[in-house]
Amino acid sequence: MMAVAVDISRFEGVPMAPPDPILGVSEAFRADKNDLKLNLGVGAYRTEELQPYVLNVVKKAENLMLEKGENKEYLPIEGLAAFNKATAELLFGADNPVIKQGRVATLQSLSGTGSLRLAAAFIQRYFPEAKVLISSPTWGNHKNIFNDARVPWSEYRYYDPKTVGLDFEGMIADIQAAPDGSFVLLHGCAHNPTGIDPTPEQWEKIADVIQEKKHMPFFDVAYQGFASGSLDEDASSVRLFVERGLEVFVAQSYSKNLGLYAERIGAINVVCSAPEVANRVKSQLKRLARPMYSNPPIHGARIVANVVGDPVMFGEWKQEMEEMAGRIKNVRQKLYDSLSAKDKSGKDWSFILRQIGMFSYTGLNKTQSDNMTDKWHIYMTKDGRISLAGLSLAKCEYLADAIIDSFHNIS
Amino acid sequence: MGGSIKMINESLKLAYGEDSDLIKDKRIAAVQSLSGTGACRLFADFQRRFLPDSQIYIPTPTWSNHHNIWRDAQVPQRTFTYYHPETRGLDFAGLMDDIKNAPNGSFFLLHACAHNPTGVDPTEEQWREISYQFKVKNHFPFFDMAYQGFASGDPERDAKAIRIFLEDGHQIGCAQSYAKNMGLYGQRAGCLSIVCEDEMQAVAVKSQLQQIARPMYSNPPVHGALVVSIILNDPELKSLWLKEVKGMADRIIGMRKALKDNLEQLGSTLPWDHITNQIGMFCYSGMTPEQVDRLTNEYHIYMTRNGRISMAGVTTGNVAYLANAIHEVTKTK
Repeated sequence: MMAVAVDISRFEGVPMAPPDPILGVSEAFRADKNDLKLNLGVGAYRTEELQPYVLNVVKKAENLMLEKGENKEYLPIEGLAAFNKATAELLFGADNPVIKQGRVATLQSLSGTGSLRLAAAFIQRYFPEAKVLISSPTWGNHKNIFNDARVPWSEYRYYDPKTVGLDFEGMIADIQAAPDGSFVLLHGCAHNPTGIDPTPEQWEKIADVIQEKKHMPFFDVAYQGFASGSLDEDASSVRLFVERGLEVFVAQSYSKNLGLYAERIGAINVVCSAPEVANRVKSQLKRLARPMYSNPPIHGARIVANVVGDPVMFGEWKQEMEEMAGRIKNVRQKLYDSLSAKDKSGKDWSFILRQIGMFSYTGLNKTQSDNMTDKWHIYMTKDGRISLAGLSLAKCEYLADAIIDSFHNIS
Repeated sequence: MGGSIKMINESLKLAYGEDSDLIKDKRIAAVQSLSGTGACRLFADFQRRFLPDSQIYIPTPTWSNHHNIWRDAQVPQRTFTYYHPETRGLDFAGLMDDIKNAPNGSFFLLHACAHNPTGVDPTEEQWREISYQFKVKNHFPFFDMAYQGFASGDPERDAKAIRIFLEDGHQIGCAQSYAKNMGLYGQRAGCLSIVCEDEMQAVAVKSQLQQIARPMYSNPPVHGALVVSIILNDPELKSLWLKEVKGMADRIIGMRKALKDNLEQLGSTLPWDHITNQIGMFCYSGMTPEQVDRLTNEYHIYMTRNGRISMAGVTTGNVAYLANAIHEVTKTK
């Protein structure tokens, strides 16, 4: 039975996709044979020995899970109930009226990305005329998510290169100028990639303008607990908006704060005006999730539920989180001290101390960033972002030398 | 973003054969996926993006989520004839007609084994004819293989349809799931593979699949994939798995026989051969919605109103009760 051959491949028109800008950094780092090399591109926490860190409390939870011997049956589409309860309480506070009144639609989803994508798909389906406003700059994948979900977006000013700080006036003006009812994507804490967060007073003003324009606040909370070390403090921006009685979207991730990166555990929460609304919203989020992946993966959800559900483990988690956040703060301090001591130009490096979270926007431009890599074997993204999670105290002085050289000698 | 390499490699060997030239020549673009659903969705999105004029032919009936997946991916759907209610078997003539009448180069969703929900699979000879006709029409075969090993108890045998198509030189797509055959349901472990012209094209196609995955979930969950990878890469564990999956399949096959035997012993004059002819988790019993309602209301037996019985829920302890109930609601006075 000789058959008709396919002459031209169906996939003739499929081009090679461009390399991921962040993965490319890690690949180049791996290929570098120099002893002094440093990987500051990675968005994952490293210990002082620059090793990945599995939290002790996670190992404990996993051992417990293995002992319990629970089955691997499908979760419901909305995910593990114990996880959903725990995650909403962590975010809003267990005593928050919105939880007590049953006004939050929560779906376990595939970490931050999956949560954002579900929300984006929901926006596309039920708010087809709406636009999402995203900060300039923002995490690269935000744009991909809204593009693939076919939700139009535009940028609001955020980073001010002159001050290496927040362009607050620009931010407010752009949010003001957007059509009423736009979705405003806000980083709950530890803005990625800049590390620059609004102050509490600024958050109030941001909430004012959002309320005035009847915009929908849409928080991406990827670092709760990881930024300041305190779960409650890092959720304060979200809680501020909720307290005003606003309806809010919040995407959560446990990748960083519980180190569960590869388990893909997070949640999308929608605070609604009434429980009946939350039920409807939840039902439609489920309809979007089912043809994407049917139901979410159990492992990470069980870890979170076990850790949060046990007072001893919860306490241990908070401690480990404080240690992680503390290590980041320490390297920030040491880097700042090294820069201040070594840089004779009088440049003010204190923005490093004001920024928060895993990342720092150094203010280095692309050419200067290239110099960091080519001359000093320090790997970072070309927007001048360094990941302090990949920095050890031992390497701070070397990094300071490199930054000073790149900043002053390269334009 | 592509997932566990080891898990992918072992998955390809399972589906395409240990000695597959396609694997040796690196012609298969493959990524770890969120079980079968995720694999189908990635493929549907890939179709939409790179083959925007294509549509998908879906069998009647099929797993209902297939319709949701291609709809949400915005790929137009058509259906093709599959189940023959009168015989509770395959409407092979109708199936072949639809294959011939579809425009050349159409995309078809095929269940590799243990069709869900009917349990009705083509015979080997029928698969060969289908494959031949696909070649004539230059159709694209996309296999959803959710039950490899779970259907007959033998993974190689359950992959027979795919191997026939590969022998005939088809470049296939394949969604694999470890939900049933490794019982990893909630772990969401699976694999999407697409056969390409050559290694370079496979690299390009894989890179684009990763681009689709990134704004959906960034990278796939590790836990289930690690379990699969460890099992399949360790000869002892793999051997244990093969025993266990055969054990599961044998239990189902045993229950099919028991149900049929019980019905015959009860004196039912209706034909029940389809119970043992059908394969996999499900039995399309042929009962009407009204009969199903009676089963539920009078006998507390729960099943979908299309008459589909999940044989996985039948045990030696309840098969007699089930047979009796079915007999009561189906017998003619």
